[in-house]
Amino acid sequence: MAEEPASKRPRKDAPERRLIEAAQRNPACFAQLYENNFERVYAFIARRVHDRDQAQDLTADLFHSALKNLSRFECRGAPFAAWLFRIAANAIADRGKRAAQFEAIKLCEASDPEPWRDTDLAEVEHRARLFKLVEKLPDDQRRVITMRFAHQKSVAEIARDIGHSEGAIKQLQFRGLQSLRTMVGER
Amino acid sequence: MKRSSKRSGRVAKRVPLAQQLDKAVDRIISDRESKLSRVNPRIAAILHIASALRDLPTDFKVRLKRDLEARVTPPSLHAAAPTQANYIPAGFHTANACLVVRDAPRDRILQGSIRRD
Repeated sequence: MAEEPASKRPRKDAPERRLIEAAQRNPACFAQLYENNFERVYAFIARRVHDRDQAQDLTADLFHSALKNLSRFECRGAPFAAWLFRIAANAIADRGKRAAQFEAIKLCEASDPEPWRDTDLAEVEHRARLFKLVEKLPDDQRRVITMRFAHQKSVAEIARDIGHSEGAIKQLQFRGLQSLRTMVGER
Repeated sequence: MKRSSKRSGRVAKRVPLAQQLDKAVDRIISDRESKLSRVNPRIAAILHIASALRDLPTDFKVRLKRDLEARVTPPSLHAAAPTQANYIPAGFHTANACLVVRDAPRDRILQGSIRRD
């Protein structure tokens, strides 16, 4: 059977392209692009700046900038995330130049045209996927995992807040992490 | 160590996995560069997940989304948006039930002599 020409084959990026074009016409449609990319962008930035507040500031700046400049984005087959990563890498480098305290300064000096290729994108995707999967955990496990990792509370603090024993919180943490491991398919 | 304790007839105190995991999670959270070399193999794989969750975002995602949505909704749209009809006249806050009796003699109503049957 003759293979269909590439131009007639449905493109994998077609849904994303439609979303981008919709958002370019009506910025209110940007919400879906945000939902699809928030975790990976945040994971990309957090992995570099190693500081939660800085990571949040940069992520916020990035999405504001992406929204403002969306009309300039041209769909040429590269995923939308690649454009976001480029903006993120530039923002990190700029901040690194100013503060001279981030790992990003190395990226800036490396004069690599695509600095995110140096990084482990698979790890960024892995983290982004985990961040999303936390939302799918049973309520009690999700609550403990969120308090422990996002709010960085101790087991004793969580036990006090929730009203369970510390042993129960440790069990919920154990089960939550185990569930996540199963969901991502790690053995 | 385990062999020698067995030989000596002592039973080594076993720390529950959940507790071992929590200690390791503490190290992960407090020290980003911490090495997790000496952990129970049964929790090593789970710790890989824990390590990836170190930067788990808080409710920041929701806040930022609200912020972006506020930006894409021009203020003029807020002003032009149709307001919900208010069926309660301004200044009225209560509703009282009343009974209407057709053809009742006015003077007896005023005297309160009409009774409900």
